[in-house]
Amino acid sequence: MTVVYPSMLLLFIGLPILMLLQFREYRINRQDLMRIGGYWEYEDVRTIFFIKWFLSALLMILSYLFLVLSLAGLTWGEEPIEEDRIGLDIMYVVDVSYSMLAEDIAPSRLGRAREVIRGLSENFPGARFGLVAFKGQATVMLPATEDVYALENALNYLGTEVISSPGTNLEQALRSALDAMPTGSNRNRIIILFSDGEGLDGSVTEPVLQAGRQGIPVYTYGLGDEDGTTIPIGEGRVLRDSDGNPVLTRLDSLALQEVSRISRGRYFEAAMGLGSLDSTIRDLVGQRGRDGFRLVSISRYRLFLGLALLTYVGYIIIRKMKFRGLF
Amino acid sequence: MSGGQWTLENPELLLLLLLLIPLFYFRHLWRGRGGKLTFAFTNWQGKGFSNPVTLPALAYLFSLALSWVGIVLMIIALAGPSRVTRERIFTSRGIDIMFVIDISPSMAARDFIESSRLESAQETILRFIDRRKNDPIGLAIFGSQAALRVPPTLDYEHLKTAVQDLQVMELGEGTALGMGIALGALHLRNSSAAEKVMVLLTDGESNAGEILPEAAARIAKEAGIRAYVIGIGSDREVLLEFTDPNTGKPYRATYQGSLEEDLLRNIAETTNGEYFAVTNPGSLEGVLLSIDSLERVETRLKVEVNKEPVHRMLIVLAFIFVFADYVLRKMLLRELL
Repeated sequence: MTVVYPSMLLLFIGLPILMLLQFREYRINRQDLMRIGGYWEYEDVRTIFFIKWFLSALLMILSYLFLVLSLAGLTWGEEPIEEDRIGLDIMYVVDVSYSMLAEDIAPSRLGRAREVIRGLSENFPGARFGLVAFKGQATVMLPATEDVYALENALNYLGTEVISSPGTNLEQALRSALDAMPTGSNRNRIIILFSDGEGLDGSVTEPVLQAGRQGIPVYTYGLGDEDGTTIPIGEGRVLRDSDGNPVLTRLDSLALQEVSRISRGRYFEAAMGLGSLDSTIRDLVGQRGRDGFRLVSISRYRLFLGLALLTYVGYIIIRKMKFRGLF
Repeated sequence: MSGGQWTLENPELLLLLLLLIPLFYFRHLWRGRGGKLTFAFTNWQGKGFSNPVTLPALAYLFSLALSWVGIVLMIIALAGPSRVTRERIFTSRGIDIMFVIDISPSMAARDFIESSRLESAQETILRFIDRRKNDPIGLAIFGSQAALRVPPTLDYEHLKTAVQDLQVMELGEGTALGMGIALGALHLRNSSAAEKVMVLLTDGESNAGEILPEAAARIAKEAGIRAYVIGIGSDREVLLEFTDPNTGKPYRATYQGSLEEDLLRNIAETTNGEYFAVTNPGSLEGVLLSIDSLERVETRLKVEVNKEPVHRMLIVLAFIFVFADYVLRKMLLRELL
């Protein structure tokens, strides 16, 4: 089961608030009822008033709960949809923020990304490759092409200086990659994202969902280790913050895993080497080519929305139903 | 991609809207409904109630409307509204086309009256790109050296930006014709396209570079590339106007160059291509049009339908409406029953 919009679950904070409102409603209404007249004295009236309040409050709370679940975008299970594709388009998306210079994996995080890209491109002759670099902004360094010399060229230029705006805007990066994906292509399209996952900003849910819908899995490749390391900036010096302390950087794989999960890709780590990434791509291309379909996650929003509607209508009916001929 | 269209995954669920009619009757009109108090007027000394239009009364109606709209939105969201886009998918491989453009200073010559040689070449190439659909097109340039600007790609937007950004003298003063051809050939060599085409545009004599144009032409031929060579300009003296992109200094001079037509014709013949001499923008357009019609391959395509669900916004609105109704009615208006 996957929660596509986990942030929506924050709305559960509203549940206790809603309950408090219900209790307040009960207290106020009881007082009002007493003021209106002797009604409150009847045992029957009191009971019915309590029952109606209790049932409607319960249904209201359930309705809230189901609406939140519906908005959270739960998915489970998968179904095949027909898709006939041959060949491969790979869009590489590479984080070029300064932390990618860290040397906790040899030769450096960025250097490793380059090596993996070179290796993959050799393993998939005839595929088309594109390259997007990103920091605070994203730039298409290479539009999708079969030309491996151009890829090699672009890789040589790939460095922290290709983009000046600071930050690590993954949303921009994914949007650029999707835009740069060849349209009208009957090939399998994939995105491979190289990053240390640190300080990612931008809301990735929309572009990642779009990728998932278009059948473009985002494979994420986490670079770095979790212990933290300094960032060399040449001549044996390391990057320091304004107080003169060395800046530490570590691999933060959470966001990367999230991206690959929602887009039906997979998360890889540098320790796993090139082989697992390579065989995963081969499996994908092979399966789709053989079976002529791809699997998509089934969104279950309807189930919860239906329940929410049902409980809300139930709430209205309880409110308007006459109990024991009284009200 | 064609424009957006709307569809419902399960339109039959809209029938639920019909059930709202009895619900509406039950909630607001039915005499036997509950949720109201009946008591004798005698308690108020026989004075009846009128139903004046007051602010609370209006607020009450408004909140009821919120509640009903919320329900309707939920039902529409249940029916699964989606936006449909159709994408044309090419199932055949197009041909690869590489433009190799001379950007030596003489390309700034204004013998085309309105614009310089390079400017009119840029415009014509942009129009050429617009006529193509499924053919990867690349761009290489040469001055004293040669450089690849865009590898053969279907990302025409990217390519067009690169074409628009061309400036004379980016790569020095010379004309390394051989280097340009060799570079273009290198980037086409590994292509899987059945047809590989180079469109070479130059205006002068080859006077720089380590590779002779004749040798480069043979390299291209071996890579299976057909070269269309376009010689641009004339032998007359022409006005030259440009800004050096490296120093930002404007230049203005007269220029008299000559076109090595024999060499260019020879390159075209070596690669089974064709040579065209161009003296005005109209004929340049004509040349590219004829190349366009010469290089056509059969394209096969199918249409793929993409659906993008759009129910979320409706659920968010329904959520807000339904609970705004609750707060308004129960908290602010203190509805009793």
